[in-house]
Amino acid sequence: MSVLSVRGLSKIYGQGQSQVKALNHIELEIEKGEFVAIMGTSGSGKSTLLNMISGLDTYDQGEVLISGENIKGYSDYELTRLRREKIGFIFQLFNLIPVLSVIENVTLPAMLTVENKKELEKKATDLLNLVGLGSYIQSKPNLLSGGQQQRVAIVRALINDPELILADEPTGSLDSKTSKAMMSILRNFCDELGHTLIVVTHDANVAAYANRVIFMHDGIICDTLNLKNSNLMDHEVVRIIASKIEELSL
Amino acid sequence: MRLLIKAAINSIFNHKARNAFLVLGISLGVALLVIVQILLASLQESNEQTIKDLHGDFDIVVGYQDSHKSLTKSEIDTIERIEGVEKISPFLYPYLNKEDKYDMWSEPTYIGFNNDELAYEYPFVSIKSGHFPKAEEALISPTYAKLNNLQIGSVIEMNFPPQGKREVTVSGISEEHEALTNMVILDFHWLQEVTLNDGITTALIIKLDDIKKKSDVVQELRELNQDFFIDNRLEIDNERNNIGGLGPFVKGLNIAIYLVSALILISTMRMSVQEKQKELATLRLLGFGKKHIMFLVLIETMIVGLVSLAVGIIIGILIPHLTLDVFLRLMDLPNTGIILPYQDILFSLGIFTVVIFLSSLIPSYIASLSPPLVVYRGVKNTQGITKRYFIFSLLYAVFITILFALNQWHWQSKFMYVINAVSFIALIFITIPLMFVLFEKGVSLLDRKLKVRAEALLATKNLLRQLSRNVQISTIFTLGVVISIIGMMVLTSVKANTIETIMDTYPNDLKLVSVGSEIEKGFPFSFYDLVSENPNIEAHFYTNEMLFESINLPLKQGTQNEVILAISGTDLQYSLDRNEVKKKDGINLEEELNPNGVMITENTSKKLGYHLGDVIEANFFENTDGVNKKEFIVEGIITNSKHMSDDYKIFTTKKNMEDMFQIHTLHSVEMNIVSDVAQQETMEDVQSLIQQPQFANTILYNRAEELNDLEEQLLQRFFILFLAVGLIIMFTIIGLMNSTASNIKERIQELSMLRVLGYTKKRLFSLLLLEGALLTGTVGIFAVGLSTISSYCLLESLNATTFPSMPLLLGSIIVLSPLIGMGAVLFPTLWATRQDVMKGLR
Repeated sequence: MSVLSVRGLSKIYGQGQSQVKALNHIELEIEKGEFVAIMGTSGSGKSTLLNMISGLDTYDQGEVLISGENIKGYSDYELTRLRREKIGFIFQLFNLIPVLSVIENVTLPAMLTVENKKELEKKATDLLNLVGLGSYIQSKPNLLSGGQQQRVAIVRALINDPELILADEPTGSLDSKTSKAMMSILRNFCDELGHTLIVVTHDANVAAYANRVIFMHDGIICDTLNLKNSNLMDHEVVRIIASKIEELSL
Repeated sequence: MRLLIKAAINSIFNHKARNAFLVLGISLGVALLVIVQILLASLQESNEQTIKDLHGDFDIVVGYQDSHKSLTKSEIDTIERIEGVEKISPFLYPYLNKEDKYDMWSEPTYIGFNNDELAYEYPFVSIKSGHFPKAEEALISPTYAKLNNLQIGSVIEMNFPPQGKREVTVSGISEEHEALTNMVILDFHWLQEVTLNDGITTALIIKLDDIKKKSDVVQELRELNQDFFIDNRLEIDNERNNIGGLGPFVKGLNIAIYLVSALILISTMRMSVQEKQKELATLRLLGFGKKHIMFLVLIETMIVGLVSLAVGIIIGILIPHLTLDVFLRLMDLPNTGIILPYQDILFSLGIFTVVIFLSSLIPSYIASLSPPLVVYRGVKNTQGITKRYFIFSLLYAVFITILFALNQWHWQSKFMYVINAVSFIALIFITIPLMFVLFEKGVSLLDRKLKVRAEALLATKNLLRQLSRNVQISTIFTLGVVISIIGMMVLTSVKANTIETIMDTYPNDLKLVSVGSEIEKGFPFSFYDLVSENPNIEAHFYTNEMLFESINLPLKQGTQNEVILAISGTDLQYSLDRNEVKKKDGINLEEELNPNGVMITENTSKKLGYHLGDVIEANFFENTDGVNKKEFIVEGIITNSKHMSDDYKIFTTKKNMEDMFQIHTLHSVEMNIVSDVAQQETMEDVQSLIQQPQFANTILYNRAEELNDLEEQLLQRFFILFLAVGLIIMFTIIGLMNSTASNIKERIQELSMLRVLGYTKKRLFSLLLLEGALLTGTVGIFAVGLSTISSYCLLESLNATTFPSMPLLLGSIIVLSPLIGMGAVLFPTLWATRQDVMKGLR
């Protein structure tokens, strides 16, 4: 069963002559455990699509189904609950709460629902150990490096065992070495824990970690690159993705 | 320079809402400064008019209380020339202390006044009908007229020794006045002539051009002649002080306004600096020096401060014009028009301007301190307390607690109680950051043991975010709590103590007292018989007294082995009938008391040490040389003396007083109106009774009126206290609104992130409300506790006998503290929860 089904999704900004079709009849199916990268030039609609999927923004036409649940017409409360229970988020700027410690930041989304605090803390500690932050659990975010902060944000996104993880330019604030490390972590989570991940990025090196790369241009999906079971070398994948992006830019 | 000013003005307009709130807050403070000065001055003027109407418009009486002496011509000339003396008027007592010599005891007291404007101000010259007496004319009291059946135009024969009798025509009747009952007012020069007192002036009435010069003039009069009797009219000063007593309250209010205005200006401008840190850092990177940054922020703060000042002055002058009437009506005073005390207002505004300038320096200095690179990288959001501060606070708290304990149980020094009070107040303010930190630690600790709601955990942690700004807002609020509690407790204690004094002085509803002293001849016993016939009155009589020295006192009174006591006759049967007397067997009727048998109250027994059966050895002195010893036997201890004034008194029967001392008259009759329905009617009965000529030399005191007067005085003080507290709460709310709005703006990304993570609008709303509640609630509880201890210390230092517990006030403050914080953050919170999540994340 698809974790995410997007059917005929359209979004129009503005009115009259200044009307802009941000999304134009998008059709998309993502299966459980899939790692999908969405690429495109600026203004292609990739971030808008992510916001529609997460219920952060409203759409004009079409349907979004998360684990078969159609979110159309959902109230603010229902969308909030959906995000809390089924979606994990990773942002470019990490968005950690500065007054909370690392473990508190990680457990924060789960604190709204989980009753057993000890179990929750154990799970958070285990996940933090997995990403190499075991010795920083009581530290405040401002004492961590950018890479460390993004790892905290990844663990936070995973704490509720979401069916779908949405990452908007997760490596945008990181250097290339740290970016690679970050993407390896995300890849491992998908492979080993079966999480479904959608990453919006403009970096071909990041997209190369995905099973499938979707290319967007002017609000439509113009191409798809399936990398699952591909025998291509990493640098070849990066080169193909980069050339496709270049084509779109022209 | 011009660029910096332009930048500062632009910055103000960029934060219109916040600066408008700031201007509103500070200008209301300025307005209040001006309003209280104007209202106080107008109130003083109105009160002064009432005093003048009641007591006369003069300030000093100087001269002699003896007709053997006179002011000399040169003394009168000198007095007239003293700086501050506006005018004088002479008067003459021809027979004061010459009554024996001229056998004048049976005659009324003669006083001669000059027919001038100032003489009319003297209470004795209060003409109800007729005119001021000329030669061979007299102004008499209504009582004297009633007693002698006289009216205007009647001719009376008066004795003017050594010249003999003269016929005098009644020119007028004076107002009803207890002091005038036995006085006759005559023309000054005619009285001089007819009594052969040419050139004699017993005393002078003096009017000053400025009341503030009174003490200087009195000093000069003392230096002129040390024998002068000087009446500087303290009773009027006391009445002035009733209004003047508001002065310290107004000063306190002014100080509170200066302080909270400074705090709100500093904290709001610091918010502005915080928000502009990147901008300021860029300027620093572009080559602007610390001096320039400081100047930029200083100009911005000064502009806001001075605009507030101008707006405040306008509001402050307008409001009294609209409200003076209501205000004076509230205080039961006539409206004598608005007084603008320019000097006081300018002085207050001058101080305020200095406060604004000094307050402006702090945010500008802080802005200039930030190194450009550190600032550009971002703001450090979480602040903590230093170890040094923690240890200092802890040591200070322990030290002052030990000091308080030592004073409470060992030294009991009044001065140390003041130190204790100030120390505890200081502790409240010193430990506000510590309270936040401890509260946060406490909640974190609790979270480890139990599951604390995520909002609570986050809200407590946010207390420490922008700690110094939060501390400033909390300080303003704490000031309000401290002023409320100490003010209310001190005023309530003063009220309770004064009521206690009034109840001691007037243990019953009404008290009829002879105008003479206790040992002079009083009024006839028939008054008691008459009032006792009224079923609505329960009356107790007290005969005139005899004073004696108790020479076998069992308990020392201070360092004294002897004490002056009074013996008075009363209706002991009242207490006997109610079994409220510990007595020897066999005494059931007061007639069964021995001729030298007395009763004392339980209080007197405890105080003096006399017990049942003891002998009180008394030394009566008819005059200073003579000694006349008597012994009284204590035959009863009155256990319930609520209806009696028993201070240094012993009691016997009326018959014993007649037999022992030939005292047949009463000094006072205490009355209780026992009927609730016929109160007014009974009062009127008593008042009509005392119109009878034989009771003319009496004054009727009404306890309810005394209590009403007290209520009125305290009402004014409570009014100013509430004004101060109201203002401070308003400042807190404005400060918190500004602070929260700024804080939310800074945290909008974080708040949007919480929404993304699954926080509903409702939970976000709860989180922000909780943050507001914690900001005032955390310090509220602590401030209530320490303010109560400070109030106790202050009351101890003031010798108070009543320590109000005021659970309602303290409970209300504890409950209201978080609610005020929640109320203040409500609108910014509503705004925050309505923000678009997507926009926030960007």
